[in-house]
Amino acid sequence: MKDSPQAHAHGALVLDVMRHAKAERPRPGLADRDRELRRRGRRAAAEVGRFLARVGPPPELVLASSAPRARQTAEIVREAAGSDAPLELADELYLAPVRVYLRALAGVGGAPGHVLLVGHQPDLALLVRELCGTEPAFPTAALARLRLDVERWTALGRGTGRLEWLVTPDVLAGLGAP
Amino acid sequence: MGVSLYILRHAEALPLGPGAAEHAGGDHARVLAPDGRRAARLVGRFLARLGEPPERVLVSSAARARETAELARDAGGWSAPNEPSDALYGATPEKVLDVLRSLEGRPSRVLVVAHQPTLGLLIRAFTGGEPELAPATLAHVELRAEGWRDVGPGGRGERAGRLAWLFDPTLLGARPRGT
Repeated sequence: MKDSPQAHAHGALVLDVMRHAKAERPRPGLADRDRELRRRGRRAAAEVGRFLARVGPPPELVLASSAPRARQTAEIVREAAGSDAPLELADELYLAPVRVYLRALAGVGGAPGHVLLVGHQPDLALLVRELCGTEPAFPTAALARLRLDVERWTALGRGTGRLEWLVTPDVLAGLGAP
Repeated sequence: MGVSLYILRHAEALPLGPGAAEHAGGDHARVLAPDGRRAARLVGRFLARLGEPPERVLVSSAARARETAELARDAGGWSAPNEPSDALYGATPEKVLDVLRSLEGRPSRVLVVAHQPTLGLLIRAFTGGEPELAPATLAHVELRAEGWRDVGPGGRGERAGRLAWLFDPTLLGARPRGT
């Protein structure tokens, strides 16, 4: 794979899909887009980051909606996972249809083999459903790992992925600390 | 409201030895490998720590499924007894659906311990997609039906349920896994 920076071995692309963690409640004068993480959300994001580090190699790139609750989730996960992967923020991933997510993934730079995507509901459940058929319930800070049967991010489409696992903060609490 | 279905694939079993097919039992009698026994206990503890103990446990009558269910129950400490059933061995997803539909007593959480490819196809029937299902993988499907009698596969565009989570607890074990 090293000598072929554009393409990865068959089925080697991995996409982690994560919903932002728990954010502050909507209130007058605060635009939905500007809501930030609550303390509980920050804790959950850090827990997911530590889980990611335990379960295998960390993502090579983190792509997140630029809305504060998604950006903060991505930053905390990345740090807790001990990852130095570049973080790309995308304005268009706030309240985006599936095709916008697919386009954003197709445009990632550096041909990463493993991307962590941080975004919003209901968009992400629809993206997972498009890629691997399964409709997940997707509470805040849920994380799904998809193995993709394509060699390039530009080839993502309906049915090209398979769900490997899906965890939530409750599940991580059940798994316990290392 | 809905009901909760927990789906557990039996843990890693020993292969049939040479000539074992001629022995009484054959595939049905295969027992768990030592790693599989550990994994089954891990799954039981995990389910108990989640605070979601099953109220009914339906188990394939094959030895590896029964052993998985027994070890999980011992480790998890829930009270529901294992209910072995020949109908869950080598079953089609439709057969499992029949078994679920005929459940009495309105349990809200049911655990099925059985085999591949049955369980992957069952998850597909409910959620629209077939996930990976390594041995000892545990999944929680939230079904929209009001009771088990009404459980069925989804129609076109309409899913019968959503996948709440799916995980193989041995992924976090110290032992690196083979492919």
